[in-house]
Amino acid sequence: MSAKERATKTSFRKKLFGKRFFRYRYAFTGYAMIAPAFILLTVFVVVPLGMAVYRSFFDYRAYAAVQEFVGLKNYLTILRTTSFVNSFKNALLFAAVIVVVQLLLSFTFAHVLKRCNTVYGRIVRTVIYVPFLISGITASIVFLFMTNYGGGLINGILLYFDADPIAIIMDKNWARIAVIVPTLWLGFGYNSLVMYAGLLNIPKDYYEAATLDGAGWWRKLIKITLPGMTNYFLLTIVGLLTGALTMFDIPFLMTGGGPLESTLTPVLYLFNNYRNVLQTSSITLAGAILVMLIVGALNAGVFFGVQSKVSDD
Amino acid sequence: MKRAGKRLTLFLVAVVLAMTAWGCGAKDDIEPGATVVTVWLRDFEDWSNGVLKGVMDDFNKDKTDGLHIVYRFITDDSFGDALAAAQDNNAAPDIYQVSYTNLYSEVRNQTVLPLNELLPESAFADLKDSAKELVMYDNKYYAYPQLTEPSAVMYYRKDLLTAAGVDYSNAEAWSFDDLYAACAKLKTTMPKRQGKYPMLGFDFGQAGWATQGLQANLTGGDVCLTEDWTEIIVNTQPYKELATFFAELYKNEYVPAAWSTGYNDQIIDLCDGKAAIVYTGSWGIAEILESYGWDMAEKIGVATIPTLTGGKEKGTTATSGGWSFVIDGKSAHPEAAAKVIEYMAAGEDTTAPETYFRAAHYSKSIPRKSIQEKVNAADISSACPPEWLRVISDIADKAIPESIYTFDINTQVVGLLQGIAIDALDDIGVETSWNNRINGVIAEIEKIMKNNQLAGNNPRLNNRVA
Repeated sequence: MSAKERATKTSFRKKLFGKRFFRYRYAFTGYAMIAPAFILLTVFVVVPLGMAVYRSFFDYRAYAAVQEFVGLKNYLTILRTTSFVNSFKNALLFAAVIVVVQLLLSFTFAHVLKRCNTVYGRIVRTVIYVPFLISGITASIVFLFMTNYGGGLINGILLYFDADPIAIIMDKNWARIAVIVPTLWLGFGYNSLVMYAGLLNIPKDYYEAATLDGAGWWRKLIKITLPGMTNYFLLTIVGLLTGALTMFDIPFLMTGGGPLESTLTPVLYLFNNYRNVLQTSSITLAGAILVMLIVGALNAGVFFGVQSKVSDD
Repeated sequence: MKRAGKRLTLFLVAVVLAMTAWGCGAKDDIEPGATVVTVWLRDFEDWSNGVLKGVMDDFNKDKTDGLHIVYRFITDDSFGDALAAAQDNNAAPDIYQVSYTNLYSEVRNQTVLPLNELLPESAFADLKDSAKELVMYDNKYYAYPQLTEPSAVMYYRKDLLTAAGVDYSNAEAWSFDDLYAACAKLKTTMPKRQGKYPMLGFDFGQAGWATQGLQANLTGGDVCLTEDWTEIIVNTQPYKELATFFAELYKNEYVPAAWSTGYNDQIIDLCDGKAAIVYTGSWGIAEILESYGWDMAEKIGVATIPTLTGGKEKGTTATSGGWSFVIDGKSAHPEAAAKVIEYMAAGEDTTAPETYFRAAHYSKSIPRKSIQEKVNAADISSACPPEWLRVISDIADKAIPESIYTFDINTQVVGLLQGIAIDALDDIGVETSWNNRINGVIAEIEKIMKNNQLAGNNPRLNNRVA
């Protein structure tokens, strides 16, 4: 290739891509490294999601020659379903309780861990993480054994003291507790460690300076600890909120969504609704997309609502 | 070093190719030129899988019929997903099992072929009327019944009832009051402190479908809606009687307020002596004989579930569950698939159904008249107590298909029953509880009917596909 031809080609690229082309021309390695994740996400998330969204606008019948376009009808059908709406109310209640209690518990316990810098502290830090490695199904089975009406640990103790056993599926409040407690137990260790990492990340100098200035523990908490851990709170809240709103395995096994739908969650409702032989499966798809949109919107709200230190920087 | 690396690479490539060739190679001994029919079955009990495998292996022994079955057992939990994915990718099996309740969904999705032209007329003529209505839509047969299972049967422990002074000789004719009287006596010998209860009835997790037979018994035939799906009947006296039945059982602690064993497996607690009376489906018979043996069977009686008025002629007390064979709508060789269904269930000369029902200890009901006659004439006492078979067959013959309207309606009815049972535990009377709850339930069902455009659209009544 002659020098003139090279110059013409370079000029053409400049016209086509601008200066950015030259700035990023050596970024091949970067693209190559993100390619596997990009391809896998596209194949297993983006494409199925696109197909689901597309199908949700049709009265889908698997082998029908022509699929009937129904617009937003499937979305309206699911939104008009009282059980689905109630399941969201339940999920929001679970989310509120779980987020608040888990944050308080893990934040408090993180302080204990920080103070307990002995060999026992290290053992505790390891042991509390174990529940996070257990699946919700296994945890539910353990808690089912404990709450078994016929002779589980809790009811066994009650019967020993001549008290009436507790039937969790016949009492709305006990049923909700039976869903919330295993959820808290599963996430407690992980969230405590996140908080613990957050506490360690705050420079000691701040506290020493505050002490010299005469600040008490409350002022240090409000002015140093909480602002210093904003991002850790954000991470924990988003994780807990998403987990609570998409809960399935624990209510499915512990209560089956009962009694009287008091522990029915949106995903559990959709799972049950899939067996509805009279409806198109597209209604379930529409419901799943709605759940995704609502959870996404709430998480976005949390991101905007909580002051992010990263965005400040 | 470089050479050793090349050799290692070549060796690995050779191993991979050899394994691929082995994996892709024909595992079955297929006769040349045979049409391969793929069959997907649900992975149920070992004895059930064993019998079906044996039947299909026997079919494949004939190397002159030009047909070969390739079968696959898939767990019940993942069967639906696997099938939906296969159908989306045009890779569905030629034959698969469908429950009677889900058959309508298959018909609506056009995923199954009508069998009228594929199976001989005699195969359908041989079906009992109660079986025909399970597989017929739009005046066409879309499935061939493999078996039916009455969803509600009462099992009782004779030894435990005798110990409590309960006379069970007339259990077949028991009314609700007879059941209460028996439970009241059993409470003295089955203390809850020992984790024992007089009975295990319909649990609320499964009551949506399991009680439909009893609902039909009380109403005289309809379940939740009138037959044409135009009116709600949940606010009528029969449903109040049903709610009272649940309230009595819970208020008096004849049943536990909660129980870990689900409706389908309650027979285990009967055999373990944790309850003296249980309700479950006919499949309980196989569980007793397969897992506990004949010594236990001699202690157990089987009867139609008690009804409001009792008596020998109770009518419908159960729905017919069970499984049927269908041919996929895109099967490349439906005629060959039909031949396989003939061999497995529908043929005049096939012995496969008899083999299956005997292995099932006659816990499954027989959908074909000719096979029922053969079984009635045979000595079946080594497979199942003949009295049990008589009771199960009687219940099955009067059983109705499970409802196919939106399941949310059943959920509302279960909510009503459970709410009244919860109130009963809190000493709130049925009348008060009923009045507090019924209007809300009816309003919800009206909303569900409107939302799903159910009024006047019962596909079974009109025999058409919506």
